[in-house]
Amino acid sequence: MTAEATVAEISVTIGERPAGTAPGEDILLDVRGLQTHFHVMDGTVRAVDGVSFSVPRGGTVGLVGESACGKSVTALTIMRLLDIPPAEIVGGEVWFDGREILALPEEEMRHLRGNDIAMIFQEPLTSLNPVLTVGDQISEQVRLHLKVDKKEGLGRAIESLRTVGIPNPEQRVKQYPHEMSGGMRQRVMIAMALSCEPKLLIADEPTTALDVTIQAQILELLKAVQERTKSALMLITHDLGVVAEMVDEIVVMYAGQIVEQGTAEQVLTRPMDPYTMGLIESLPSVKKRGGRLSAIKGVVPSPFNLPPGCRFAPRCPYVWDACRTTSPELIPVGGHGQRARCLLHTPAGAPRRAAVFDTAASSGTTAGHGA
Amino acid sequence: MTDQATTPTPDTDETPVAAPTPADAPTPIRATPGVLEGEEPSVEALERDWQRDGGEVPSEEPLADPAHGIVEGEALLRVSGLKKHFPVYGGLLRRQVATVYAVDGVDFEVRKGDVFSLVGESGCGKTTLGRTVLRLVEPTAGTVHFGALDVTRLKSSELRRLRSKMQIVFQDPFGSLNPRMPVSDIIGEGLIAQGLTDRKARDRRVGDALEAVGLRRDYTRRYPHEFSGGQRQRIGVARALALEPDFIVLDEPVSALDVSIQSQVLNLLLDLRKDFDLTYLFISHNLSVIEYVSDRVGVMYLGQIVELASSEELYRSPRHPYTLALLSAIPDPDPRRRHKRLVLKGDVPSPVNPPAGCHFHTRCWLREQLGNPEQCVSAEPDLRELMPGHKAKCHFAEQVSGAKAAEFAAEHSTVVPAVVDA
Amino acid sequence: MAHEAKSLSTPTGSAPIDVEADAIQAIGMGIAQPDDATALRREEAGADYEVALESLNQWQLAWRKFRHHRLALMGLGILASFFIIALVGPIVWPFDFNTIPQPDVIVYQGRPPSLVHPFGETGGLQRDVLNLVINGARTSLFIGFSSMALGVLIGTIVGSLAGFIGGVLDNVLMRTVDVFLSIPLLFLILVASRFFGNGNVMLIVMIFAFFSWMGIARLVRSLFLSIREREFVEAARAVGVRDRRIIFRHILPNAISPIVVSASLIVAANIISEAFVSFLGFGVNPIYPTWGNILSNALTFIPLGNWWWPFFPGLMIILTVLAVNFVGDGLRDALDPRTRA
Repeated sequence: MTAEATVAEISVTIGERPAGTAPGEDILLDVRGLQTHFHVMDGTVRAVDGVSFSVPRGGTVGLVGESACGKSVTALTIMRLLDIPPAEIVGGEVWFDGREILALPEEEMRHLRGNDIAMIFQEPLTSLNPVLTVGDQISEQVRLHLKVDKKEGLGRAIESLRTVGIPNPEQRVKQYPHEMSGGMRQRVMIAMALSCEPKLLIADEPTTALDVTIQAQILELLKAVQERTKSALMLITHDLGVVAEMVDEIVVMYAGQIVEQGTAEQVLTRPMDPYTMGLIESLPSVKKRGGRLSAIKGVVPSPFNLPPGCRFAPRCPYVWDACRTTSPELIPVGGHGQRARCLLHTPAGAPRRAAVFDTAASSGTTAGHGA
Repeated sequence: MTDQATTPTPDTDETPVAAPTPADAPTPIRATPGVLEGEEPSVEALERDWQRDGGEVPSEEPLADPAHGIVEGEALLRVSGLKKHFPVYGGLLRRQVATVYAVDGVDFEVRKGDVFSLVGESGCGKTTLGRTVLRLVEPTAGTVHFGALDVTRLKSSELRRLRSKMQIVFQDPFGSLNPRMPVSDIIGEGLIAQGLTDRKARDRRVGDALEAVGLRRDYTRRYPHEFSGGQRQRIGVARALALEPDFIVLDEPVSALDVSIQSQVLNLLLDLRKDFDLTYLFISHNLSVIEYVSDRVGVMYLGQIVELASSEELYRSPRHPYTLALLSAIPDPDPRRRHKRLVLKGDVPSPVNPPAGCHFHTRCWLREQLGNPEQCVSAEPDLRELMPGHKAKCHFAEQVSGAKAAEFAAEHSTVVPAVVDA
Repeated sequence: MAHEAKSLSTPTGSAPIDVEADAIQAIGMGIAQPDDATALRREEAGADYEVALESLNQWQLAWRKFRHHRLALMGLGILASFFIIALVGPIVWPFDFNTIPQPDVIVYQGRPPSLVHPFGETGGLQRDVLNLVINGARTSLFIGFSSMALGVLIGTIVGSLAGFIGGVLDNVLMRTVDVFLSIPLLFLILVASRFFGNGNVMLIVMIFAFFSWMGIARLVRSLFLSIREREFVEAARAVGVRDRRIIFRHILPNAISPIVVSASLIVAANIISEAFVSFLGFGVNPIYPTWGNILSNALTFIPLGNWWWPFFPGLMIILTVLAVNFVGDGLRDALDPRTRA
């Protein structure tokens, strides 16, 4: 009994609550045990397989992982933008602002999208309507959600373009998306997303398609508007540099599961999961010149043929027998809210733990580039 | 030829090879400079292959090895005054209405054994430059010397044979492999085109190339869609490698790959450079990757090289305001080092209508800091040598420093306008 | 030089690759002091992982997707059975087309379907309608498919030339296509079959082919223009592959799917056209049955209530055209390389 009580206590402190009850006031988005599957001809893909995390009001959380790790599907599930079928939300709850939104009727969900949750995609061109001017598109959204008249809608559109750094917004509102550059379109998307002052902004690889100097513009812009509007930010990216600059908390995903979560500093400077460690170590930097990069060997497992134990086991440098049969849980590590999914942190891994993490500490696991 | 053991037999697959090559007696393909050789095929075999392969005529006259005798450290590739302008047609009569100055007067040298990198944003012409060096795109002006040979003056048959010496690896591991071809054909067709018509010798070379890039020999019957992105990129590398080139253009070879796979492929490329004495022209927009792999770096902006230096020099003390802004824009994966960055305003101007004077003046922070000197707009700066081996194309290169950039960044809002008025 | 350059064929095992330094610097990631560079490389590549999905070539994959398209499968079944009936039907069915049961008796009314004549009998010469329909299937299907094949051949050649060579030739060929498309087709077919056709089946095939290649030509040209710019074609050029091989091994195989899909639509269109032209009496010589001819002959008997006479050949036309369209639909999905499932 006492043991159970401790477990319950721990899970409360790290943000998991019993099913069916709302999270505390300070939590804006609470995702619990989310499972999204895709039914395709080759079988069932467990794209999101038991993902739990939360975003505090005004907070910033980064969802990090490589392609097909389930990070984008997680976002689309939260937004309820998936096609069902082939997708199926098999289990879990998503609490947003005190409501369970997976159960909301579509009509209310539509109201929520755009009004309270806004999303920015990687390729702005596909999410903008090519036959409407950008002004029409922003003001349409404003009018729909804020119930203002046409003139005020356009005024707000101009204002929001101005805040995202588009000069002469009075002229620009009359332009069509194809008349703008990629960076500009992404600014328009941000303006549109923020025009209704959402409580949560989900940005899915917002700068991946952009050049370095434009990426810098957009990241600075996102940071500035996020600080000003106090909306929460959920940033989805594969770029560790981008999350390091943008968010306070990081969730690392691999093969549909969360493998590590914690503050940005914890995860990026003291990673506790071998996958995260591998990701950070594999970044090229000047310090590694002349030597080989420590690549993660192998390839991401096929979603139809996941390893029976730990999903990272076939690629993991520290793998031992137990890893191939036992699926590790996401367990607290280090006592400061950081969690990792690795048997090294269970009692069974204790003898090996020292060897792994002492080397890491002594070699000074620092990320990146020394410019 | 040197290896008598592999003199071809009439080459139906069922016929056993009279004297099989011992595994430890490889075909020394570099033994003679010149034609890519395997076995000497019989006339019948050639005929048959010719028919089967849609009329590939193996070359007869040997092409003198242009890279012969060049030792490490000497220039293997010399590009001078290279230009590529694309006409833009428009209007009812399809007249030429404008010109895209994709590559606009570029000079550089790649030393044998080096990794020379070109870095820049999209539209800066780095990809076109890579293609023009190989003459996959015909240059508008300028010369490309590969060893003693002027690539720009070759006839198309000579050029085709030069392909075995100069190769390219493409960015997109999905688009660069024909989805309807098995791996054996993807890698092998270059060998056919270069005259290696003997099936068995070719299969062996394909297998060797696959092994050299970390894949298994028995993958040859598979199709591209059966591989992951990283593995496909390895196949692309194997295709280039199978021809035993001296020089490879790597056009964004890891940009389309996941982080963990990027490092695998970078390791592979650097290993292969050592193993096969290769020289790379590495094209990328990723400054961290460039810093890790390069010996020398050229920074491109609007079709021109604006700074050229050794990798250490360039990253330690950049001398062009654009380079500094690029370096400042890299997101640092260490959250303890969040810094105030120097954000350039506006977009890269269109290469159809590059700004007058210094192409960079419309976005230049240094010009703004110096109070907009007239010179930047009125005169195009030269790519000046500031110290041995370090050139920059800026009138005020001496004044560029990290301290000035930090000062500028601190004074200015980081939300910058999306366009600058010309 | 610090080391010997290797040729590809040299075993790479002895390569002195300096990995130790890095392996120490790394936090032990993956590189457990390898003594063999190839093994290391292969381990990094994940070469020894099983490729999880079964190995299928494009046609196997297409068939797998096609199988799940119920209507397309049904269409394929219908077409296949029509082909079999057209081929073996005349041999098996007890009534011979060339013999008229009672040449000297001409009846005013046909007879409705019965056990012996499941599709009924015609008025006039009292022929077995099923027998006519079977023999008509031969001609109609032959005309539909072979005119398609010929048209696709012409269209592919014209389109390939225009797309690959471009320039003046492209202009000339494409303007020719425009001219052909601007001709009122039906009228021309009628005139052409009256003056050149003489009811000869092969000539009808040629005429139909002559007027059904333009769509394919345009399609193939645009496919060539886009595939020519794909990176794998550039890669082939970069290793020195010649134009001819680029056309036949790189561009055409990747253009096949859309060609097949639009070819199926041509079949349907030509079967309908054949019926139409024959019905108007400008098509195949009326003494040979085609579905259109049967309809045409039945015309005068419809007011007499002989519904079975036009009904069955009409049904065949509808079924065939539907089946062909379903198959085309299925092919479109099955050959779409973007989906595996």
